[in-house]
Amino acid sequence: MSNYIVPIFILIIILVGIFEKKNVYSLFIEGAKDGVKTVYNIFPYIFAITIIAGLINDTKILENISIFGITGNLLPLILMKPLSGGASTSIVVDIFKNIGPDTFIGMVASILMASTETTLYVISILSSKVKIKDMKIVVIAGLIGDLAAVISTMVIVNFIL
Amino acid sequence: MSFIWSAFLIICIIFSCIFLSPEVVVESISNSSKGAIENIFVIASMLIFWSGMFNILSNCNILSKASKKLYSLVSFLFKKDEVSDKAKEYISLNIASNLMGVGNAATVNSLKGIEELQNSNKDKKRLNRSMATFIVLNTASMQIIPTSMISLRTLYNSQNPSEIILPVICVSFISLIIAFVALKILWRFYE
Repeated sequence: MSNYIVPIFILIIILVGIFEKKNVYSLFIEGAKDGVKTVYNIFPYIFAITIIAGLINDTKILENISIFGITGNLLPLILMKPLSGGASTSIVVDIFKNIGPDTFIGMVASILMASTETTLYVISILSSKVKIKDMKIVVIAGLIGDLAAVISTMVIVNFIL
Repeated sequence: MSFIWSAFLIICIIFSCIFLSPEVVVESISNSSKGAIENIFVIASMLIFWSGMFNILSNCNILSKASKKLYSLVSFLFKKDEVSDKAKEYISLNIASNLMGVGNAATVNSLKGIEELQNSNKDKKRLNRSMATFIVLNTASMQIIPTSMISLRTLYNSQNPSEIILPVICVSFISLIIAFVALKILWRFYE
């Protein structure tokens, strides 16, 4: 079912445009131009985030520390998810391969991955658009939300398994 | 952001120079630079497409009608005088595409939305309440059905791949509420 959402959505947009007698083609071009500008503007931000996500991954620095008994497999995921969707997906795949998706760690990883966003990445992209330097408040609030997600996931998985 | 970024960079470089080898740093940076270029092409392709699509939609009258209804559901989160009509459209489109799980479309609309909010912002150098709320909303996951995670679990032979749906909805909701509460408390110090 969910496979149909995107094609139908596109179809509706085009049909609505034609129905309202708009020049659909030139509107699309105009928007795409805007999209190219956006990509140009957000690229340095994505670049900066990818560099540290890569360094953290390659130095395996997170696998050597443990906080509050959360060791080895989960901590890298918890700290990586706010930075990068790609890197955290590869951590989840690692967990699924080595430990299995239905174990405690596998369940926590699945739920965490699906219920949180790449907080710092999102904030850095959005800040590229508004050129406001002081983003402290949303960074802290977003990360507190992520922490709440970690704790509640642990509690819920403990409860189901 | 600057603090987090430089802290991670410094810790990683010192760590690998002491425990691993300096080559790891160089290799990692060159690999992730390459990765970033590859990523931007993937992101660019869909972002440009959706940017074009939503430009058609945002020029149609039907959108302003539909978005008014959608926006009224979330209007309690934002301050009236800080949100223009155009911003309302993008905010509702952003929330709708997040709920459906169309990430690229959500990104396009979040960028447009924050831009519109900035236009009606009085002090361009500081976030206003509605902008902060909108950003925090976007740092939380709103997808109703975590399709990509379910397919990943299926791929790795989970006995019950969709078992996570209900917990994911609960956890997303809890984390969003806590983030909003945190923002509300922090806002007093910000002002």
